[in-house]
Amino acid sequence: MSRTSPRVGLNFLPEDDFRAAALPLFEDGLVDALERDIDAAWGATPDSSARVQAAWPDAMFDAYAADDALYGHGVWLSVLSGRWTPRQERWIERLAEECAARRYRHVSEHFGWMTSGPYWRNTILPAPYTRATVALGGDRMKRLADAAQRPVGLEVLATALGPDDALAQGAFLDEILAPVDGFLVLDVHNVWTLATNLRLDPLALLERFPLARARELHVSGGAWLDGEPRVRLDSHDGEVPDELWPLVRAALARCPALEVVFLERRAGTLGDPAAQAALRADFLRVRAEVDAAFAAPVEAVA
Amino acid sequence: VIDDAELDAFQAALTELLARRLPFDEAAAILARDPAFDAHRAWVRAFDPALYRAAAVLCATWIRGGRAARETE
Repeated sequence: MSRTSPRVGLNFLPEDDFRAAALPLFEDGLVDALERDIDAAWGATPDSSARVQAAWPDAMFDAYAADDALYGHGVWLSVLSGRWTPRQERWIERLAEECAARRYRHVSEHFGWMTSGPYWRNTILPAPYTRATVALGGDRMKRLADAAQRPVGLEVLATALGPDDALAQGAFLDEILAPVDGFLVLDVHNVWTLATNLRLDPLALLERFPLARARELHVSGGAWLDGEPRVRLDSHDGEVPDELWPLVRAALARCPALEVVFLERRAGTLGDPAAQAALRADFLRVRAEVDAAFAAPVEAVA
Repeated sequence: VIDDAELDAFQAALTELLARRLPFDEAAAILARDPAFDAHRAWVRAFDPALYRAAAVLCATWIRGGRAARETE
């Protein structure tokens, strides 16, 4: 028997360089689904106040929503912060408003924290895996689910400070997601980044995550931070590295509930025609990998 | 709402330490003795020098609020 093939889509950006890069893919009808940074309008402010956004993408969002192919992805909630702040409460209220106004297939956020003390924003960092942080994460996920009123999930975190942040992350995620029957956003580049930086086997690390929960898969590139040793960053500012594709294939073979695969790229990194062509090539490669994985009988890829 | 003041204080102390971008040896000494990190001492003792350096670079780039607001905003 064959599994149902997941949709293949793009993380949508309103910037002109993304539009130039992705337009041929949309025109050819190749983009099955859109991932929207659902908190782009209010997330990156100290009080979750709204900023003016470009209006033209609304038609795109509405079109994909009409096909039940619009997916929300939050960036700024800070799920594992110790303190629940007015900024986060307002974030939740705005999410509820957005989910009431537009049809999203599901909504995801990021595993980790960035808000602490007087600091409302930071890079997303790991938290120690304890009974207290599991309870805290469960509380935040319930709030997310109550506001979204649809399935909610968390994305694998690429940033680690020590080995346990990679090795125990799958179990930690599973414990937080279970009470809301949440899903895993399996970012393959994040897993590869963790493995590379900690000198772990990428496939063995992949298999430590709760793959049965994976509904959404992310593919992206990144960059290296110079130094000795150099460190891989999940910066979304480069092409998908050749080394990632075997792990993409492994993930496609091991996630029985996969619904959608998104290629992600950061705005402002697609200014020249070569970069735009590379994004299209990466997208077509993702599409080809999905087609190959899901054309095969499940026994052949297990 | 679950509010964990101890975890918040720990996270704020870690944020401030990362933002200082100290050499890892200096940061590790602070992580080993500062009472702000008592609650999760075993976790911070396992920090990897290269990963700490990368997190410090990212933190310095992204941090907003508190003292960082006066220095970077």
